[in-house]
Parts: sequence; structure tokens; C-alpha cells
Amino acid sequence: MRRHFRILDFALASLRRRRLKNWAIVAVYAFTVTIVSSVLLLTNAIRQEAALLLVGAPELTVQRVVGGRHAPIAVEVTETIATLPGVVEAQPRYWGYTYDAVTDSTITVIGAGPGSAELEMVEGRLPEHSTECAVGAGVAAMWGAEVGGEVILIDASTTGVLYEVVGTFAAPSDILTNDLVVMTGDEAALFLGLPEGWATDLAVRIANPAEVDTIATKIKRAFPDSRPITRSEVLRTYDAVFHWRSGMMLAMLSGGLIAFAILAWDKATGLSAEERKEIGILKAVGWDTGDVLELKMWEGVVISVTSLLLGLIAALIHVFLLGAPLLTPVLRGWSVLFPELHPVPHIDPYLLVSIAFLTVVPYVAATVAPSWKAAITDPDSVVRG
Amino acid sequence: MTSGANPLVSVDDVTKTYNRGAPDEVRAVRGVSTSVSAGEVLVLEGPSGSGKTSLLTMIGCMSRPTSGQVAVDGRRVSRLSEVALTSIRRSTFGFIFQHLHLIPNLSVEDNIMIPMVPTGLSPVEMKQRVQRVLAEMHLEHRRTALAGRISGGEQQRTAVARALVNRPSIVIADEPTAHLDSELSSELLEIFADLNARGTTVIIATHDPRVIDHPIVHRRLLLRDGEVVGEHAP
Amino acid sequence: MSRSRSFGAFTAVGLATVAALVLWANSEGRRWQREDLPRLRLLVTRLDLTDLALWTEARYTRHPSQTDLFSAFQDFPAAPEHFPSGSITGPPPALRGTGETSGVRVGRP
Repeated sequence: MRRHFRILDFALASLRRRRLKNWAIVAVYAFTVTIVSSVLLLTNAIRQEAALLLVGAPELTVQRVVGGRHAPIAVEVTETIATLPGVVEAQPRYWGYTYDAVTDSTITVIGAGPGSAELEMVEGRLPEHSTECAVGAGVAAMWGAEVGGEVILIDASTTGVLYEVVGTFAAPSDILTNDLVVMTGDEAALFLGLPEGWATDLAVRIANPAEVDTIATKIKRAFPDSRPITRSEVLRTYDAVFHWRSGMMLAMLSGGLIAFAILAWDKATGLSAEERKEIGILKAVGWDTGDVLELKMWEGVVISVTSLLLGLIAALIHVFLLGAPLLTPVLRGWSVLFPELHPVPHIDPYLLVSIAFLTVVPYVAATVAPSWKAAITDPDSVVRG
Repeated sequence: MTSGANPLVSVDDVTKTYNRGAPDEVRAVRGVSTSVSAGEVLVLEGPSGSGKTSLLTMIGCMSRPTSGQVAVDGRRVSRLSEVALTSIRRSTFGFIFQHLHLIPNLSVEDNIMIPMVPTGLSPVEMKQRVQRVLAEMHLEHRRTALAGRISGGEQQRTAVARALVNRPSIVIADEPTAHLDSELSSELLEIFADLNARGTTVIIATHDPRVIDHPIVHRRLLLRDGEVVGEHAP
Repeated sequence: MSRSRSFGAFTAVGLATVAALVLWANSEGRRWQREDLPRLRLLVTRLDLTDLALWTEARYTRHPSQTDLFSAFQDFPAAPEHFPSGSITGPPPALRGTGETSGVRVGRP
């Protein structure tokens, strides 16, 4: 047992000789671990957040599809749907987008159905009149608007319309409300140019989750031009989106990853004449092949474990304390109104274990493998020069 | 052959062939038999290429003979596993190489510790042993200096200290004076004399007359082209 | 202290830091689930939201779960189409005008 510690001692002494070089490798390696772990931690956290939040979404949304296009749906369809057994409620949704040429951003307009104007996550209240609106933090910041302020938005007939801001959404809801302008349902329909009696789509609430698919089938049968979207499809979409986004981020980083792999490969495999001679000396003074390989293994372990720990700590701080500033530009893409990220921590131990495994094992293998040949040569080669 | 009843090392009709079967085959040692008794100072004498280094590495359990037998302390080493061979090498032999083979960017202390690392001694014991050989070699003031940054004589003594740290019963030296001036050579021979006085067996391969003619040498084995051509016991 | 012990101590401190960060993060996560999540879910239910307000550049990114799956063009004129072609080609300059040049009238007739 003590033998292993002595070999570790020697490995550390050996690494200490090329202190600068080895610290440089640790720095690059740790940075790589930081970035990769940040991507995985962040996308995992947002995915989890989406899954938890969207549980509140309607069990079914029903769109109408005409010629492959998403088209308005008649409000009267709700009456038929509401009579289906198991349906609690069917409501029209009025929502759409407006492009704000002044700020070069796209804003999402949503009509709030009737109901209490008070909502905990709103400072102020939701609109009750056609001239009022509530805005998300991103829109408010863009317009410099507070409660009591005004915004001018361009409606479907390219006419500017003035609204009084009566509410702003609180920071914790940014990820849901950042680009929202909430109006009354009727005003939203008017603003979005929906003909009277037509809605963007329908939200259907269903009491028993087990019945959702049956009801979706029934709706599809009754209205063949409809496209019911279940909540589980919504959640699945977010799962896919974040896998795709993290894959894309990793793809963009792959240049760096490959550069690091080359560096590691070169460092670990490029057994210099000097190192070969050292192995010969060790063998000549009484180390066996196993001892030499153990030394190389420890050298790899020290470098990779140090990098792993530093990288993981940096990633956890970067994502959960600082809000992932290094990744936001990649994640936001072309988005103009991108919310400030406050990722809600969700750390999967399995994720940490796989990061650790992927960090340590390949590096150690790349360190030990090339020493093999030098380690098994007869020690007399060093004597004979 | 002069040998005691129980020789420490016995070499029996040993040959060593490198690159066997290849066009550049070298028959470095051809049927050498001899023995070394405990407490002896033996010199393997001969020009370069005479096979003395090859014989030395076989005696020192660094390589196995192509044919024939080497026995150390009565154990036949030819058939031993690598691990067992290494363990004998570590516990029985101390090596001083022609080019010293110190690791230049490690400290004197770390260099001396190398042979002890795989033995699994406690750190305290290791420190004590290093301290002792440093004192014997008058190197205490150089303990933390890098081996590549000390004088040639100090490097020589560091190499000797490393050879002695596992308390070997046999010290093997390959052309130890090849790169030393007269003063350092005689200093080294004094060290060998001292070791021998305390019962350590010393085997030296050399063609340096300063060593060959030194009074500490008990016996000389003359090698030419891998064969023993003469033996002198002054 | 021997070198291996220093390394052991470093590793232990590192692991403890990681563990502390993970525990802290997970307790934050639980706090959010306890305090914010119910209120946010109420908001989702009240406004019938189906998507996160993350990417506003196109229909299919703002409402990935709601978009018809056939649309190749989007609502935001500066929006590129699918990755990666959109990141190589920019939108035509005429589409990037401000309010003055885009012919918008203010005030509903």
C-alpha cells in the first residue's frame, strides 16, 4: 500500500520539474472541462425548468392547419370540444407576434382571457381595458417603460397603437415572460388582425391526464383540419430542443475540443528521448514494469483529477452563481430579446460522474499507453547507451 | 578459478547474443564462467566491445543470458520472472553507471530516493537513509540542489549515494572513472575501498589503468571479444 | 507533509468544494421549487403559456412546441432560416430599416 503513495510522491516530484508546462496543460484542460460541463449543466437545468414549469400549460392546444400553414381557428369550435366527456374547459387563445422596427426585435403579443387581474408574478396588474397592457422585463427594458408608462406597437395593419403599461412581470418569470406584451383578449384579436369569431388556437383543459390522447383523437376526428398538440409533446419538444442546442454548442466548441485532444495526445504520447531515458534509469535502479506504468498512471491521474476538480468548480460557479455569461451569446443565437438567465440548479449526479469519467480515463490511458513500450524494454539498454 | 565454497555470484558458461538471427547479430559474451565471493573486489578488464558491460548487466540481473546460468546467492536468475528479478536487483545490487544517469532536473535527494520508491519504505525511514548516505558522501549541503546543477564530483557522489541507499551487498560499477580526472578517480576508489572494508562486494568493469592497478583490487578478469582470456590475482 | 499527502489534501478540498456547490445548488433548486414554482405555474396556467420566452427570432424558435412544422420563413425579417446557412448569410439591408423607413403610420384611422 505504502508503495503506491511513494510512487505518487515521485510522480508529483516528477511533474513539479516541468511546473510551467504542466500548469499550462491543467489550465487548458480545466477550461475545456469548464466549458463542456457548463453546457451540460446549463442545458440540463433549463430543460428541467421547462419540464417543471410547463406542467401548468394546457393539456391540449388545438391549431387549425390549412395548406400546411397554421391558420386561425373558429371560436365556436370550443363549444363542440367543451361537450366532449373529460374536457373541463376549452378557451380560445389570441396570440401572435409583432415586429418592432424601432428596437429591431420581435415581440410576442398575448391576449389574457377573462379572470382575476391580480397575479403574484406581476407588479401592477394584468390589463382590463383595450388601451392597457402588461409587459415582460425585456420589453420594459427596451422601451424604458415602467408601470404607468406607454408603449407604441405596430398592429397587423401596420398602424402604430399606443398602450398604457399597467403591469410588468417580475424577474423570476423572465424565462416565461421576457418578450411578452399581454393585452385583453379582444384587443389582442384586433391587434393581431384576427377576424371576429376567430382565434389563434384553442387551449383545452382536461381533468384526467390518461384521457388526453383519446380526446385529441376525438377532436381530430370531429375537425379533420385541426392539429391537437398534447402537453407531453410540448415537454418532449423542450427535451429535444435542449439536446439539440447543447449539441450545437458542443459542435461550435469542437474546434477547441479537438485542439485540446491534439495537445493532450501530443503531450501524453510524445514520449521524448529524455523520458525514455528516464524510464530506463528507473528500471536500471530497481523499478519493474508495473512500477513504471503506475508512475505514468499517477502522472495522468494528478493532471486530469486536478483539471477535473478545478473545471467542475469553475463550471458550477459559472452556471449557477454567474448565470452562464460565457454561454449566453451562443445560446441566444439571433434573439434580440433574450432573458437574463438564472438557471435553476438541477444537478444530475450521473452527469457529474460521466464528466469525471470522460475527463480522467482517456487522459490517463493516453499517458500510460505510450510508456508501455519503454517500460517493458530491458533495463540494460540504458547501460549500454 | 578462485572462488569460495559458497560464491555470492556464480556465472556458468554464459553467452549473450544481441539481435539474434539478424544480419547485425552481435555475440557479446561467449561462454564465460566465473564466480564472485562475498567481500571481493573484482575488475572486469578489457577494451570497449570486449563484452564486459554485457557480462556486468547479466551479473546485475539487468538482462538474462542467452544461454548458460547466472546464480545470485544460490538463486538461479535466468528463469525468474521480471518482478522477482527486479526485486533481487533492487535488494542485492547497487549500480554506478558510466554516464551516471542521474535525472538532472530532480533534486539530489529525489535522485537518491529513486531506488527506494518501489520498496514501500515509510517516508521517515526513507529520509533517514537518504540522510545517512548524504552524510557518507559529504553531500548534505546539496540535498535540495538539482542534480544537473552540481559539480561533476558531486554528481559522481550522488550516483554512488543512489547506488548505496538500498544497502546492497554488491556494488556494480561500469567504467566509473571514464569521465573523471585523477583526483576524482582516486576519491571514488577511496569510496570503493571504504565500502569493501565494510564487507560490500564490488564489481568494476573498466579499462582504466588507475583502477586496474589500484591496491584495492583483489582479482582481475581479462576479457577479449566476449571470452575470458586471462585472470590475475595480485 | 509528503507530496502525496498535499495532493490528497488538495483532492479532498476540491471534492468538498464540488460537493458543497452541488448541495448549495440543489438546495437553491428545491427552494425555487417550493417558493417560485407554484406562482410561476399559476402564471403559465393563467396565460395559457406553452413555451419559454428564450428565442424571439422566429416562430419556430419562440414557440417550438406550437409551430406548424412546415414553415421555412419566419416573422422577424432579420431572422435567418435554419442553422447553419443563416449564420453565414445576413438578411438584406432593406429589411433592417427602422420605423422611419418602414412606412409605418401611427394612429388607427
